[in-house]
Order: sequence, then structure tokens, then C-alpha cells
Amino acid sequence: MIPDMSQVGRPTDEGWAPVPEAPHVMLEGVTKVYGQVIGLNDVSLAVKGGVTGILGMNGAGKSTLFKLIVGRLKASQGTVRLFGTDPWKNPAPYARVGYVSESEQLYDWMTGLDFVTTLARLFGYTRDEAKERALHVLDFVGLADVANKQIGKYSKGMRQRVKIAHSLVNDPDLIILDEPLAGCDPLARTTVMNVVRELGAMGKTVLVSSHILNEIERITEQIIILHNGRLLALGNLHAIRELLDQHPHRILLRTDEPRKLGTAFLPHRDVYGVRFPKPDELVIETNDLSSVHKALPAICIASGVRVTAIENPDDNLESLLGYLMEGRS
Amino acid sequence: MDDDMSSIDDLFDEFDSEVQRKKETSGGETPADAAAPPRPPAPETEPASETAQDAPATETEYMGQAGLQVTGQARLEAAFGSGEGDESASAQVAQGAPSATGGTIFHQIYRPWRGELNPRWMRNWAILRHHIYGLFSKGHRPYPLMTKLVIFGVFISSLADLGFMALGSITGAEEIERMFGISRGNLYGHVLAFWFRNACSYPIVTALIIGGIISEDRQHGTSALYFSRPINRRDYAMMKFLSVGIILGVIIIFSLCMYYLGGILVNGEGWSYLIDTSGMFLAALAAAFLLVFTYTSIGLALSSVSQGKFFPAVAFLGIILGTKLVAFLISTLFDRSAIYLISPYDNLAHVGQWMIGVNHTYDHPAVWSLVMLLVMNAISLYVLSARVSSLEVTRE
Amino acid sequence: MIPESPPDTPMPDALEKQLADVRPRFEEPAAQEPAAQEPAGRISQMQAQAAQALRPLTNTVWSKLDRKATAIAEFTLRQYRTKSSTWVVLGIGLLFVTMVLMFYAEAMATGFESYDNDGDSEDWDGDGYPTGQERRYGTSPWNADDHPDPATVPPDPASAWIDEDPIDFDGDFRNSNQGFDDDGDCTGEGWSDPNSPDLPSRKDSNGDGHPCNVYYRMNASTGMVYAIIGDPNVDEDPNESVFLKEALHRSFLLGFGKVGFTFLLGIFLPLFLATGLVRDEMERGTMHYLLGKPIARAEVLTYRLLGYVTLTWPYVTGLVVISAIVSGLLAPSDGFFRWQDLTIWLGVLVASWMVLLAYGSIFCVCGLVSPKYGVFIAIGLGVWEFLMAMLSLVDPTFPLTYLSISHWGIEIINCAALLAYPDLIWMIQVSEFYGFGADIALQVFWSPPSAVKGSALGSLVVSLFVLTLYTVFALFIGQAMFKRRELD
Repeated sequence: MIPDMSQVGRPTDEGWAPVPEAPHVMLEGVTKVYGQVIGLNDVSLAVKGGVTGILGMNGAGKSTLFKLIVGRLKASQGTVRLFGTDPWKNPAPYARVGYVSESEQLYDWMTGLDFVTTLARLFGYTRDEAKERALHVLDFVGLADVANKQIGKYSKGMRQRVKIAHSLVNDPDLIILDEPLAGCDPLARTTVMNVVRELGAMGKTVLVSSHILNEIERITEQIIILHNGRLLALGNLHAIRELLDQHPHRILLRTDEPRKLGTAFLPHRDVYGVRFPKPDELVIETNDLSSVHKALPAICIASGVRVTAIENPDDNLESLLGYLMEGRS
Repeated sequence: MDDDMSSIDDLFDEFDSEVQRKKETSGGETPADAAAPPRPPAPETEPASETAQDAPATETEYMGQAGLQVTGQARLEAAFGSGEGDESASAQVAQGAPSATGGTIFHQIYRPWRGELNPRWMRNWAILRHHIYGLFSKGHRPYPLMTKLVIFGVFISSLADLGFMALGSITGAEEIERMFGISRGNLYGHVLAFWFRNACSYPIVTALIIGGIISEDRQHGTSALYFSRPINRRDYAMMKFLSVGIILGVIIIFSLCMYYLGGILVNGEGWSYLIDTSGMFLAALAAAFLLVFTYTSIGLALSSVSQGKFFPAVAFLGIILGTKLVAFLISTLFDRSAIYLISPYDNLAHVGQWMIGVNHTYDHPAVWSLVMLLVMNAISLYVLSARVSSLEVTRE
Repeated sequence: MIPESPPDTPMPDALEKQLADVRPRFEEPAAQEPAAQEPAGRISQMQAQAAQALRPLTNTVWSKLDRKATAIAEFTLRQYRTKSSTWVVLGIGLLFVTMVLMFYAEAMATGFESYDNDGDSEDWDGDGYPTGQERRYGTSPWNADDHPDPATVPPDPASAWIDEDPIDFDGDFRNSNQGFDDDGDCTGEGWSDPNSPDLPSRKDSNGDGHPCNVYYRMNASTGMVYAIIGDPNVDEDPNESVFLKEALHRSFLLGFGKVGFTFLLGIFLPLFLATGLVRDEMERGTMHYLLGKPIARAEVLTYRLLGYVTLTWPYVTGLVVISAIVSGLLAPSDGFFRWQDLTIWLGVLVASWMVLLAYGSIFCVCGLVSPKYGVFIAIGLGVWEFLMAMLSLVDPTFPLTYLSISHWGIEIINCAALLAYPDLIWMIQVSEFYGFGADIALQVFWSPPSAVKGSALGSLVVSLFVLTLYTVFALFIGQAMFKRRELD
């Protein structure tokens, strides 16, 4: 199913060679400022091999990161290296890179085959080579039967796939996919995910961004979390999850007699502290949220105190991010 | 390749099945009591909460799913949950609001709007205002700074003859005063002179204003904002026309009036002068109206056929200056004055010469030019109306 | 494959441990990959190696060009094909050229009425013989019965006594002895009575030592003719149809070449076709498809312009060829085709090419420099060029016009015209001297080359150089801006 790209050779690098042993992508203290807004704040990372998911909300800086890597933007501070070369100054490393932007825009008037062939020729392939490769990659993403149809008539999933196809045409070592699953229906989503997973299995370095955890989870366990332009977490998904579990949890109870209720909770073995931020509020601090939750109704009833609200202030994005930010510094 | 993937897949399967198991152990949920009469939510309840339920006394639950524990996994899900738009949602856990004893369905009642519609002129005035106020303040149709500057500059330069006349009067230099004083030639020149007014100023201003006036509605789909309201297409086109006409009118017609009025005031002329010159002034005024009307209709027709602001602007300049140049070339080479009939500007100039009464510079009868002018306007208005009536309410 | 922990982002120890755990799981499939395709892959691998080895041979300049340059140029052409505005603009250009050619054809088909200054073409007595002929044979022009014998002397057509001396366009106006009395009413040659009182008494009234000729009195240093004096009855009608037709033809070449090709087509084609070359891509957000490749931005800019040039140059060449063929067949000439004009048409062609290129790169760069205001800059430049073109037609020595492209395009045609027809200056002087209300357009459409005084070739070279300079300058600025442009 996977075409053997080595048959048609690499693009002509014309004098450029990657710095040996250099990570495919390396950012050191990179900051990107758009006027008054900080897009990326002092981010350092290095990626070589494997599939890496980049997770972050809208505006977290995922696209900015990618645009810096592919030289669409210039870093305000810090250094960006693509195979050891600054992509802003030298476009040669793009010969090893495939980039799928988040932009929905395509050349609607071209056929899928024309689109991929034309762009392949920019890698320095001759017409025939380019066409051969285009057919290969279109087949790889499952668009072989619609290759001669105009892109304007493609569905959204097909458009995503043709973008992925064009990024694969040069047999890249590094593939960057910016929100490849955005707006895809479940079927297209699965196809695209399979493509990404297969790419990872082929030994390529793949960077894929999303704001949805499930999607990333299906593709890879290797994640980078960005928020407000800062690098929050980096590493294995399970490891991060466990780290989060170790973090103390809080339960907030609203009641008329917080002190009495607090006293009732203290004997529980997993509760290691109570606080009273407001006259009618009680905050229980625990290491094991679920066991406290299990015991909670019984303790409340036993204490005979009227509880008007139970909240879990940690289970929202802000608190998660707040924790991650604390953990970083 | 599938073989290679097995290890990762297994990993996922393992994970999925674990989640599944947790769900199953929690047992089925009781559906909300359907018989319970719908009641308004208590003030302290979050209306956004879809699944506010009693917390079963012995179970934990998370996001309405019993049995799910608040773990790191859950936190990540809360943060980067399922689809789009849920980034701002917060996880509601074990909410114990007193009134939420069962499910609540809010009945949605849609009532037709029975308000009084503003009169038609008021709605049209809103469109007109939108386009004209945009020149001065924010919150209305945005004109690029460059356009505003050019409009201002051309307005000032079109008052140049008034300025020179005043200068001549103040310094007492009769030469200047005579040169710029009110005369048939100068009134004609104020409106229809090719150099410099109709070669540069007026066409450029028109091109800049008409550039995006309809085409951008088409390009950005903002025409839907108009047509989804009680505004018909004729009113829409008319108000667009009027707003362009008013801006051009201020530059061309208003400055002409200023010039004439200024001439009378500067020289302290009496009634007899007024009566003597009012004929040619009115003729110049009529010529100016014709100029504004023709430029506006050609410009709007071009704006309505395209999707960007660039094409109409360049095409307008092409029509005004290009046809003039072609006619100049052919008439100079082959001595055919009638070729000037293809040029809107020359038709206007010829009709203007005829109305104001200055020497004709064309050999063919003025009536031909007038007829040609009417034909051009008719074609432009036809194109405009046809294109506006085909404007899609959705984005094209 | 695991991100290396950068020095300034310390990872928690637990995380590090976790990473180490997962590492093998991911590296496994990657490591297995080459083994999976073992048997079938060997041949293809060898093929690939062979292809790699052969590659340097194919890396000639042409194959490199073919890869990137033609890819973008071809892409640009296809993009043009899908836009209706392209077809509208090209169609209007064709329409315009056709229209001018029709006017030209019509003007060439209709004759000019000649003047009879001395009245000797009239047949006052109605015997069929014009007055001049009757005088020549000594018969009475006022007596119908007195005329030469029709058997020996057939009557001349009246025109023989009007267009007596077709001006010779040999260009050798320095030879002061111009003009010839071909009906003999000055010299008396062939007259029955050489001393007839009807013949002029002073046959050398212009005093140049040649009886019965036309004398050009000129300033020796400048070569300016300041007087043209004919002896009586010689060159009686300087506004001859031949002269007028010739003048019209030449002014058509010049006017059409200057205003039609270098200016109108030269500015409107790039305005419509080149302004959006880079700007539209950036506005639509599709630029990164072209730029995310191992290709310098300056290359993309250049190849986009190459695409524009491959559309506009053949188009304008086609129009020039059509015009050259039509006018060459219709123009006054000795043979069936007027070959001399080809020099001018070549000048028109070169001027159009250069102007299209210069405007194209400038407008393209306008759109690039400021996607928002570039349109306005382009429109402003267009109007400026319009003014400068008009000014350059009137007075090409006006220094302000040097800053415009249209001036240099016009200059190229001036030079080519002078190279093709060195007698242009003389023709204009003749027409100015013998105004007679015959306002020929030659004065409007031709002025002597001004870049290098007195040298057409020098001016041509300078004009070509300046236009190239404009293009290169625009491209240089464009690529410098483009390199620093962030693509959002």
C-alpha cells in the first residue's frame, strides 16, 4: 500500500546537505511577536523521528510554531533550525519537508494530479518524475480514482488528503500537518489518521497539531502542549497524565457550617487539608479525588450539615493549564 | 504495514477497553422523569447544563457519565475534549442544585415579529448614510485611507480656480482675475476640461470609490446582510448609486457652485450680472450632473460585474482614458472626428460644449454625442440592474 | 525520536522515565520497515541507485530550468486561462487592433484630392485636351476647334497636369537639386514652341543655378530645411496624394506603435495581468504552496513573471505581425509588400516587449510591496504613465518624462523609425513648410531621438538599457521585500 518512494530518488538538493546528527526540528528560545500579541513565547524543543502531536487551544501558537518551522514567519527572538539550517534564510531544507497548512485554500481550478505534479516539479523533479510521484502519493492517500477531477469538486476530506498528498510527494523526512483533521467527517478523519500513523510507522518525523485530545491520542502518544504561546508539557501522553494525577485535587462545598463539615472530613485518610476561603465555603484538598468523592455523600449525611453545592474547581481547562504552568516554572 | 502498527493499536485497544469497562461497571442511568412537568430553572442553576441530575449517593460521576472518575485523563478531556467550541465549557461535577430533581426541557416558542417596519426611505437612508459617513467616521463602510486622501485632495484641487480668482482679486492682479474669472470657458473647464481634471482627478476618484462598492459585497458575501432584510434590490442599487453620486457631486457639482458663488462675491457683482451669467452657470450645472451620472453608472456597472475592487477601478480608468486615447489616435491619424463617439468623456465634453456654448472641438453633430451618451448610460444601468438582481444572498 | 529535552525546559524526572519506557515501542516499527520490503525491493533499490548515479548528467541548465521555471510559468499560464478577466483584456486588445487596422485600410483605399495651382489641367474649351497640353502644342486653350490631332497626340488625363512632380522619397535631401518638371511647362521641353509666351520668363527664380527645380535651403550645421523654393510651375502641388499617403502611412506606424502598442497595450495588459501575480496568491493564502519548496522567493517572483511574459509577449507579437502584414500589403509601395516598414515594426515589437516586462515587474512588485495599497499605487502609476506618455509625445526632451517607462518605449520607436527612414525629418519639414492646411500627424507622432543627440542607434541602446534597468530595479526591490515578507 505504501509506495516505494526510493525508486524515483530524492529531490536535487543542489549543494545543500542536512547537518549530520542535527535534530529535524530545533527551536531554541523562540519568541514570535505579532505587534502587541505574543504568538510564541520562549519555546525550546527538538524533534527527531516519530509522530509528535501538538496540542493547544485556538491561538495557542500551534500554527505559529509550524509557520516558523517552515519559514513562513521570522522568529522575533531565538533560533529556528530545520535539519540544522535556518529555514527563513535558506529554503533548501524544504526539500526534506512536507507541510500541510491549516489553510483551506487550494487551487480549485486544478485537478488533484495537476496540483501535486506542478508542486512536485518545484522540488526539482522533471515533468515525468513529478507525475510518477504524484500518482504514487495520490494513490497512497486514496485519491487515485479522483486524481483527474478538479479540486473545486472535492469534498473536504478529499481536500485535506490532496494537501497531505502534495506534502508527501518529495518523500520528506519531516512532515508537518497543521490541523489535518479540522472539519473532516468521521470517515475522512479515520482515513487521515491512518495515513498519519502509517507515515509514523515508515520512520518519518511527523508533527501533527490539533486542539482535540482524542484525535492526537489515536495517532500518537508523544505530545507537546502549547498554551498562550508557551510550552506547557512535552513528552509521553501517559506520563503527563500520571503527573496530573499526582497533583493535589480540590473539592469545593458550599454550606452554612463549613467548619463543622470540615471537621467531619478530616478523619478521611485521603484528605490532607481543609480550607475556608469564604464564610460559606469549604475546600477539601486531597490526593485521591475518587475515594473522597465516594465517601463524600456519607460524610455529609453523617455530619448533618446542609450542603448546597459541590464543585470541582480543578476540572476545567484553566486549572489544568494553571497547574501545567506551575509545574513548568 | 498493518503488522507494524499492531503494537500501537494494541495500546489503544487496551486503553479503550479500560474506559469501556469503567463505564459498564457504573450501570445504566435512569432516564429523566418524562412525566415531570417542565418548570423554569431555579435562578442558581446553570442553564447551559444539559444533564443536571441528582448525584447518586454512592456513585461518582463526571460530565454526566456515572462511574467516570476525575483523573488526569478526565482533566485532559475537559481541556481538549471532543469537538470544536467546547474549549470554554467547564466540567460540571456532582452539582447539587436543589431544584434539579430531574431532567428539564425548556420549551422553545418562536413568535413572529409583529413590530412596525420603518418606512422605506428610512431604511434606504440607513444604506446611504452607511456609505457616506464612512468617509468621516468609523463604524460605517470603511474606505481605505488612500481613498479618503485622494477624495480630499481632489476636492481641494477642484476648488483651485476659486482660489486663484480670490488671489487675483486680493492682490489686484487683473491678469489672474481675468484668467480665472467666471466665463463660459472657465465654467466648462471646471467641469469638463480634460487636462487636468478629467485626465486625472475625476476618473481616479471615481475609480477608487466605485472599486469595491458592489464588488466587495459580492466578494465577501455581505450583500446577504442587505437582502436578508426588508430591502429590495432596486433600493440597494439606487442607494449605492446615490452614495457614489453624492461623493462625486460634492467634488464636482458643489465645487462648481462654490466657484460661481465665489466669483460673484469676490467681485461684488450685482443682480444684472447674476441674470446674465445664470444661463451658462445652469448649463454648466447640467453638464456636471450629466458627468456625475455617467461616471457613476459606468463605474457601478463595472463594480457589479466583478468580484474584487481592482478590476472595476482599472477597467473604469481603461474605459475613460483608454477610449479617449484610442479616439485620439484614430482621429489624429485618419481625421475621423466621429471616433470620439466611443469615448464617454468626449461625448460628455461635446454635449457640454453644446450646452454651455463654447466652441466645439468635434466635427460631428452634438446630437450624436448625446445619443451615444444615453446609450452608454442605458447599457451601464442595464448591466447594473441585471447584475444586482443576480447577486446571491449566499456567499459566491 | 523522542524530543530531546532542551536545556532551558527541564522535564520532570517522572516524565523522563516515562519517555524512556515508551521509546522502544515507537522505534520498533520504524526499524522493521526496511526489512518488510526485502525481496521485491532489491531490484527497485538498484534501479534507484542507478537513477541517482545518472542524475548529474541530466542536471544541465536546461533541465533545471525545466523543473522549476517552467513549472511555475506553466502554472501561471493555466491560472490565467481560468480567469475571465484575462480573456476580456486580450479580447479587447484584439478588438482595438482590428479597429485601428480597419480605419487604416479605409484611409489607404480613399485617394486624396490634388490641387491644381496653375489651372493648366482645366479644359476650358471642352475639346478634351487640358490647357497645359494645348499650350504645349501651341493650340488655343479657348477654341474648341483648335487642338492637336487626336490621331498623333491623344489627350492627356487632367491629373497629368496636376501631380506633375511626385516627390522622390530618396531621403537625399542634402542634394539641393530636388524635384523635376515632368510635364515640361517650365522647361518647355517637348513644346512645339520653346519660346512660347506661356512659358515662365525666369526659369531659375530660386537662383540655385538649376533651372526648373525645387531648392531646399537649409542650415548647414543642423541640416534643418528652412526654405523650400520651387521654380514656377515646378512642384506645383506639394500636398500631393503620394506625399500625404506616405506621411499618413508613416504616422500610422508611429502613432499605432507608440500609443497603441507601447502605451495602451503596454500598460493595460500588465495592469490587469501582472498586478495580481503575487498579491492574489498572498491574499488568498495559497502562496505557501509555492514557497514551501526548496526554491528561493526571488525565483518564484521571477518565474511568475516568466509566466506572464510567455502569455503577453506572444500575444503582442501576434498583434504586431498581423498589423505588419495588413499595413505592409496596403501601404504605398513599389512592390506588393512594403519591406522597409519591418524595421519600424521590429522597433514596435521590441518596445512593447520591454515595456510589458518593465510594467509587469513594477506592477507585480506594487502588489507585493503592499497587498492592501498596491492596487492604488498601481493605478496612480498608471495615470502618471499616461500623463508622461502624452507629455513625451509633445516634448520628449522634457526631463520629467525620463522617469517614466512610456517615454523610453516611445523613444525606441522614434529610433527605429529614424533608422528605417532617415528622411523623416525632411518629410516633417516639407509638410511644415507647405502647410496648406494639410495637418499631417507626423509631427505629433514623431520626434527625433533625444537620449543621445543625433544618434538613433545610441538612443536606442540607451532606451533599451534604461528599460532593462527599470525592470531589474523593480525586481530587485521586489525580491528584497519578498524575502522579508512574512506569510501569515
